[in-house]
Amino acid sequence: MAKNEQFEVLVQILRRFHNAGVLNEFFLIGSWCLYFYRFHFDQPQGLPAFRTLDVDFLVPNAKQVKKEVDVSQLLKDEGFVPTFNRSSGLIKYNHPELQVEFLVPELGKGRDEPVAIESLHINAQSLRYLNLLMDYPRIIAYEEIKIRVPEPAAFAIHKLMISARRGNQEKQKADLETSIGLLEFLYARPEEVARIKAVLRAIPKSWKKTILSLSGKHFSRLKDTAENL
Amino acid sequence: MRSMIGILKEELARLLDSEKSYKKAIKDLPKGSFHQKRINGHDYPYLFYRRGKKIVSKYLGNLSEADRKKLSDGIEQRKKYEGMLKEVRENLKQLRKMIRGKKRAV
Repeated sequence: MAKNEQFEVLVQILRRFHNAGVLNEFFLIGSWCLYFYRFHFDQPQGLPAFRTLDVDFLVPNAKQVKKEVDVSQLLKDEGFVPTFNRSSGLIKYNHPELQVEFLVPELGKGRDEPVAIESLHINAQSLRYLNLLMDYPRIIAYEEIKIRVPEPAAFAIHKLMISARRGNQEKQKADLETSIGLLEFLYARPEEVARIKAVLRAIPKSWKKTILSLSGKHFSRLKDTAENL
Repeated sequence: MRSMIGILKEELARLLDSEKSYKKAIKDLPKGSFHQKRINGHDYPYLFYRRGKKIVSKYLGNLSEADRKKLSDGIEQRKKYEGMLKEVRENLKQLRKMIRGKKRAV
């Protein structure tokens, strides 16, 4: 299960989406962003390592996707098998090397059952705080494809916020390590510190309160930045 | 870094789930291989598959182009999934060894 093999499988999926004309409907979020940030920074040494088999795709505008593409079949063509969770109704796609899941931003009070995205023949789980990732897109070019990922600043702050909501201690620890590791990397780059400030200026007050509390415990430089915008 | 055992157990659960899903999907897909037999200048569609040690041929009748494609795609998908299932089982074998090794070390 070498990371290179996983990466090759992921790139194949991205190529399929690109060739079908739907790659622009997705944001790649989750820890695989860290891998793609390597292609964005001139000196990527210091970016945190990660270990995940999960590939998370955010569909920011599920109701506005006009093009009909059977994304489920595209994944099956790459050897992925749909795995249906009886209790949640969510369909994830499994492969020997990776697992793919689709997400949409939670609207209103939220819902437990997954959201059907009929034009893409998939369903997606709705989660809170995903707007924080969607509002700060960065396009990373890899060979012939252009992948939308969240800006590192938004990704790091988002990871910090969701760490507090994790029920699983190990996953909470992993989110915090990723967030802090990435913040350390970003704080060494003045242009990225400017982006951290821009994200902090724009987030809702209630989220800022959470960030101040968490950063106070885990990464005081972020707290200082948030208090002195 | 998260505890190694925790990561490995999570991956074990995922691979077991994958194994179950691949087996179920394979069961619902046609097996064998699809061929056209030329008899007296006409092409007749046949499905060839193994039943125990024997190779059986089944005449498929008057298939539409769409049905032929569906069958052919289904067979291809089955072969793909059989390959993936083999990989999943190899990964499971490696992973179980790693988990046993980690447990002994602790």
